[in-house]
Amino acid sequence: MTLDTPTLFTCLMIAELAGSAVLLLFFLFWKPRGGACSQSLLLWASGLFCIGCGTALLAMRGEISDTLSIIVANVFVVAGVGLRRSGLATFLKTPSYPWLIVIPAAAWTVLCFYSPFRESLIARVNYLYFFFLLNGLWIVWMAFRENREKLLSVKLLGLSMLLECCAFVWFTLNQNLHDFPTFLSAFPENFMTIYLVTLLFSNIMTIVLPACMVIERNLQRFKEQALQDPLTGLPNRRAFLDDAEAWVSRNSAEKKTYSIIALELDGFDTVRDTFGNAMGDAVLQLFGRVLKDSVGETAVLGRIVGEQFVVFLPKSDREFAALTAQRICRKFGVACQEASEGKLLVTASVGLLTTHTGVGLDRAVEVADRGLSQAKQQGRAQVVAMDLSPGGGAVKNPGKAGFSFLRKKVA
Amino acid sequence: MLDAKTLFACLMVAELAGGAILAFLFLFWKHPNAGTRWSTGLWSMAYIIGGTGTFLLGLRGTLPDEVTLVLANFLILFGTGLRRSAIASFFDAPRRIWIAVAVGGLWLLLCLVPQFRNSLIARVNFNEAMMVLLVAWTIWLSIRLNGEKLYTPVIYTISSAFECCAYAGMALYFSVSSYPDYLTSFRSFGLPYLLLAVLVSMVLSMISVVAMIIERSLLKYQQQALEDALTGLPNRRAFLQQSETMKGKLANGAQFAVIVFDLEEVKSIKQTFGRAMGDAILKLFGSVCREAATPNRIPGRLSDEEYALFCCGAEAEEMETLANRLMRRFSVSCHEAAGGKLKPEVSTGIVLANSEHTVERVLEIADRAVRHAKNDANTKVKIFRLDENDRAQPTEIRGYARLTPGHVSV
Repeated sequence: MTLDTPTLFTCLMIAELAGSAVLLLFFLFWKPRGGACSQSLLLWASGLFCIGCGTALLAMRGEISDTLSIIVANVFVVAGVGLRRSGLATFLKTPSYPWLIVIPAAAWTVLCFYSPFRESLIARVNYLYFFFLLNGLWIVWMAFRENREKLLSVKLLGLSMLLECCAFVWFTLNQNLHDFPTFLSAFPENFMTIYLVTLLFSNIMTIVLPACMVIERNLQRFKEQALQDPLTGLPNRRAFLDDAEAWVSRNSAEKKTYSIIALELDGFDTVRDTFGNAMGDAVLQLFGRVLKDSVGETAVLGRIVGEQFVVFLPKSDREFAALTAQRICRKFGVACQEASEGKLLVTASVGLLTTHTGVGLDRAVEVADRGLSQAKQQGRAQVVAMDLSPGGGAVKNPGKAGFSFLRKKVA
Repeated sequence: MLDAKTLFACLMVAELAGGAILAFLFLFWKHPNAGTRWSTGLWSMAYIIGGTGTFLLGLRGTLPDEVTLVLANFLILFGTGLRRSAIASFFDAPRRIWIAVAVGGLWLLLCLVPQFRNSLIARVNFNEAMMVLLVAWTIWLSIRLNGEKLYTPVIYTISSAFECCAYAGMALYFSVSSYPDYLTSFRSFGLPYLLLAVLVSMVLSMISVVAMIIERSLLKYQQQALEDALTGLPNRRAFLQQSETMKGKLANGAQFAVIVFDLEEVKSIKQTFGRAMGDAILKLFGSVCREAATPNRIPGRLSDEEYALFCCGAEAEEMETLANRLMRRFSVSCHEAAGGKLKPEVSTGIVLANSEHTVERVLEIADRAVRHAKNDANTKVKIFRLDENDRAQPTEIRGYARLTPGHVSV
């Protein structure tokens, strides 16, 4: 079956104009967005509008004057392609080089005054498609390399742009091989149909995605706010419980061991009252950093509340949990003294529990917490390891009961 | 002059592109709930099936009629029926995929009747009526069930309404011009424009569907980001945002007040009775705060043991009475809940300011007021007034019922 080339061009144009309208609507009405997002939406919308107009003029080749259908049409398309690229660059907060939109379009106009260039279809096609391909590949590169937030919609945009690049290569190759005298004479060819259908497919994807990118970025921001403690950058209580719970329920079939370390800074209120809130915050941040540096990749960390932190160690035995707790406390002591030049030594109390996945996470955290309370009652810088009796009750682990890791007690 | 066959192919390409994006989302997106996951899968299938049907429709004359007429329309109707299920699933309503099967089945049954099969008008009218019905149903669902107030279903509603119009126009066009068969209509003047209208509305509704799925996830995290997990009250960030917004609506120079409650004793309760007990008490105070909320008061949990209430246009005495009432209420409910064993003390700071001051600054002063209240053995409520020069002055209050836990009688 043969498809009608002017109709395909019209569809392309319609899809682009519709996309530009939708993106404009998003630009106007989508409220929760940052500066880069709205600017990028506007760039995409105007880019698609330009490409749409250019495509419409191209499709009318033969019906309107060649000046319009060749020169002006391609100025529009070139500008539109450049606008799309700078739209993505703006979105990803990389330099958008706006002059790279103007220069190729201007060069095209100038070249068109040179009649051998204007008369030769191959020369024109090669100039334009070289530029399209370059822009397309640049978008692909940005989508995969500069996509620091790892947004899914940006990756998908890269893929559809890759498809578009393939279409460009296909078109240029065919034009060069067959050497058509005019653009119109290529219209009935099959390769033109394949090219236009591929372009339509990838174009529709690239229309949907810029709007999605903006929403996904907003989502990412809220996700961060919802799951991260802003002061230390550690997961908050909700995120900690979610992550740890996920591991426990994933492994509940085969009783694997896991450990909970509950930590609390000793006498933190005194630090706050004596040295002020800023110092208190700095100490908490320091502790957060020490925590991050002291545990492996699989561990889950969390700041539960105020100066209370918790560490979840999957697949760990008693020995390992106790060693980890000691390492954290020792490192923190050293870091604290270094940061304050020996003026300030804040210690932490620890409650430990090692159990298996047959025990619910809530219960485990509660028991570790009880260990922490007992440690605090014993004084500062104490570690209390807890155990679960077969009946489910919490008991102090006699072997490891209450040891201190401070070599000399601090006054 | 546009070519109808090409337009059908374009429609297919558009639908397949949409189907591909949705399939990608179905596989790789972290869906917030099962409904959204199902919905994405159903949408993707609906577009791929519908697109295939549309493509076959365009091959009329090239392939036998069983394929381009019976099968093609079955696929289109089935796909559109799946769209209904997808929308329903998105809003956690029953999916009822059998409706899609029933509509397709009805078409197959009718095709067994020769009179129906041979009449173009009858077929077109049945098909377009079903399409209008199904799409209108999705519109109705997305209006009625959008309790979360998402933006994107509104865009979907608009574009689908446009789609409905295109289908209705199609039925009207065929009824008026009475072509002998479908192929003749391909060369007519009007069909391409109707198909273009379908194409545009299809692209629009596709965008809104993809956006809908992402927006749902966004909403979930937005809620979590602004809500305190324990009490469900607005957290510090949300409290600041909401009270700044409400303050913005006040007249210039109008008064407002912020009350900050500090439940410091909860810390020692946690030490003695465990975290569960401490959390229960914090929740209790959260519900007391929530009950105090009115259209011009905003409650919030500022930090672990700090709660706040933002009040518009309030006077010192009124605020003090309110604070005392809440504290007494809390004390009484604690007494009831713990059988008189727990008497957590609340220190309260009230700051009166006018709309020139930022809420953040007022909270700072409120912290100071709370500290004063803590250190004062006689009173648990301290009132400060922030004047035009940004200076905070303690305000003396005349006789009031001093509240310490010991004085509560139940």
